[in-house]
Amino acid sequence: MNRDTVRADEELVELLEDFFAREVTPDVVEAAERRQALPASLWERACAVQIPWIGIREEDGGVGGTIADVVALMHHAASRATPLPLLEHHLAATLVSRAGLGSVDGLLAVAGLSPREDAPLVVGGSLEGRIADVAGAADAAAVAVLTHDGAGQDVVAVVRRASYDVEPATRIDGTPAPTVVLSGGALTVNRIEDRAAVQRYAELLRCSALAGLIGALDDLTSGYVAQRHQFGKPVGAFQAVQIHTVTLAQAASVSALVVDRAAHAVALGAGDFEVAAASVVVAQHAALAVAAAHQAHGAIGMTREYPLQQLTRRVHVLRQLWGSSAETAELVGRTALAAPSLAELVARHPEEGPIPR
Amino acid sequence: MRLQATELTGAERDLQSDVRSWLDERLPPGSYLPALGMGAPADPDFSRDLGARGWLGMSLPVEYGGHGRTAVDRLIVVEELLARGAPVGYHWVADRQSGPSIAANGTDFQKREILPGIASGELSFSIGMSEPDSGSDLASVRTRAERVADGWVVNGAKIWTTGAHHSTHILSLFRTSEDRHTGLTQFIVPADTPGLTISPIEFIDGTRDFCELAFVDMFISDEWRLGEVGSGWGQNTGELALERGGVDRWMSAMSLLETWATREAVQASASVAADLGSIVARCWAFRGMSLAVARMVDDGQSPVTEAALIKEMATRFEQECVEIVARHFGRTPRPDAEDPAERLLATAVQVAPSWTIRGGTNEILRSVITKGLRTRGGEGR
Repeated sequence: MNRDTVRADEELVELLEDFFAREVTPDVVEAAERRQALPASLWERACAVQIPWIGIREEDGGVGGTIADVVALMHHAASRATPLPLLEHHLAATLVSRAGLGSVDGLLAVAGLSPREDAPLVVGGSLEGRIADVAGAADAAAVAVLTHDGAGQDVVAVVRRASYDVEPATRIDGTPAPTVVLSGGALTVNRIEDRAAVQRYAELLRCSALAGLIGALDDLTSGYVAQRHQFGKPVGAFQAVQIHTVTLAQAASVSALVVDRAAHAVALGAGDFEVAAASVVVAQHAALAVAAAHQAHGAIGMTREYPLQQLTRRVHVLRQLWGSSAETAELVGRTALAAPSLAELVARHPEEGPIPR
Repeated sequence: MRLQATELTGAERDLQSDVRSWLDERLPPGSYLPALGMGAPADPDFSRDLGARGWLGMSLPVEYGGHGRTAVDRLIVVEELLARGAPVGYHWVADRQSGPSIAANGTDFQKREILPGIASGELSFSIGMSEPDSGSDLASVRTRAERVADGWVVNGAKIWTTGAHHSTHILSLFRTSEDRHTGLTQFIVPADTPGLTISPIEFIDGTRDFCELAFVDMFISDEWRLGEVGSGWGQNTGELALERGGVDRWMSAMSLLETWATREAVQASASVAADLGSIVARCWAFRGMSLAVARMVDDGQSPVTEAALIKEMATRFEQECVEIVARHFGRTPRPDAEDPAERLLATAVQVAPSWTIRGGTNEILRSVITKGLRTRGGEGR
């Protein structure tokens, strides 16, 4: 057995780093927010190198790839505050693929991933109602909705763009995330196995994006405190500022590590505990990292002209995208109460399967 | 700083299972009072039994009584011991840092004399570093070793030396010349050396493990000098890396947490369960970090910065654990309570501030981390 967890393909990681560093500058992010629309040319360039199709099966129009590859994609895209709904698109394409609905060309939006909010039910082959906060819905070819049918079965419904209207709404990070108004038109529906596995996978990728943002906060801040001088020396030379830079290094380090371990567990077909635990840890350190990065930057970090806000505002959005971290913490707590001992739970190998109750 | 995620191999999980089975028999619940991690009392019998099982001095060379095992193997054993609040006090320092340091820097004579006793659990070490005027500023130590024929004469004082009263040896740092860093040399001092007086200092909870050491014209033969004259600072830094990145830095409150997690209040309340979940999730995270660092050690790296980074955050976490358990306890725990869990909490509330001080204060660690990250210039992100 290999002691190391699965790693993303090295060439792919290099491609991702290069692509996002080159194509997604703070100016590009700023311009996308001002226009309140999907940056079409950025999307086209991402498509040209197949980025939106990483991790989707080839027979479903994707280019294949491991869980670690997709985790790396979300990490690197988020670390540049990429103004494309790549996370949502990937999850929509995954739903379409897992439900055996083949593939849909173009950008996809997704709905129904929050365990707390019920998406509209599929009744009589049609879907009616409103779904709030659907990133990319205005420009998407379709929305993939994870929901139930009249018999209570989990289904994926693919709603084409012609079958819904959008009412504009904007997230705290400036991303358009309109309300989708379903008009009961044409629908493709199929049942899907293991809804919990899809939600666990979505949660893992959300955590990876957050870890990418935290890493970017660490990089940006350590660069800033080395270059900004006050009292005749770099502000990073002061112990009072080092508290913040150390907090950031810790947050970045632990967040990336727990995501990698959780990804390994998911790749083994497990990961209930690991993903929930990673989610709690990443949420806590995201909050610490935002506070530390802003405090270390001072006033300039509060301005729109400086790119710190592009990262910290995205952290606010991602932190509670599909649920509250307090509920996840409670879930981990309940798991711990059912485990033979806390220490055994903490030291367990993901191959050991579900927690004995 | 990117830590490489890693899990236990099949052979390592077998070791974990062996350790658990053995401890189930050797330390059944009720047969001992669970302690707060590495602050556990000394139980020489337990240490000898552990040594006989091959679980002390695991990484030491086989020819000196060790077992040639890995840092990860040791982590597995230590994790199980601390999870149960086992009485590890007698062998703790020797097993964690003195043994590896002597294996790395010692003479053949020293290795033959000392290492088998560490691996068998017969020998107990403590650390003679701090002095009344040298705490965080360790390079300012003044206890002086003067060269004489065949050896050295030592005068001065060490303080805040945990466990010295039951130690057979003190691994000490003495000044051998005026150069701040290169004027320091380490010595292995047998605790019964004439001229050395060990006196307890009462600790905040009334225990007497904390000690001060007085050296008055203490003669020590040159064969007990560890490493070259003047190389004490560097060796000491290497030792601190062994001291900082391990599971012991987040497991101090573990036995407290295990008891707390079985209480009805936790079972019943959603907000208390969320507090427990927040704690357990971070235990899992820190365990992953300690494991990654142990792998780095086994791969021949020296993860000094990583170890400092983990210790700084993990020890704050341990304190938060105590704070959460104390808050939910609902009243001030009493040190003389009948319930051993309440007594343990009363101890934890008092001693927890020491966790961010011992082995390098968090303030010093932040400097170590900052310098380490700056030197790398962002490499490995």
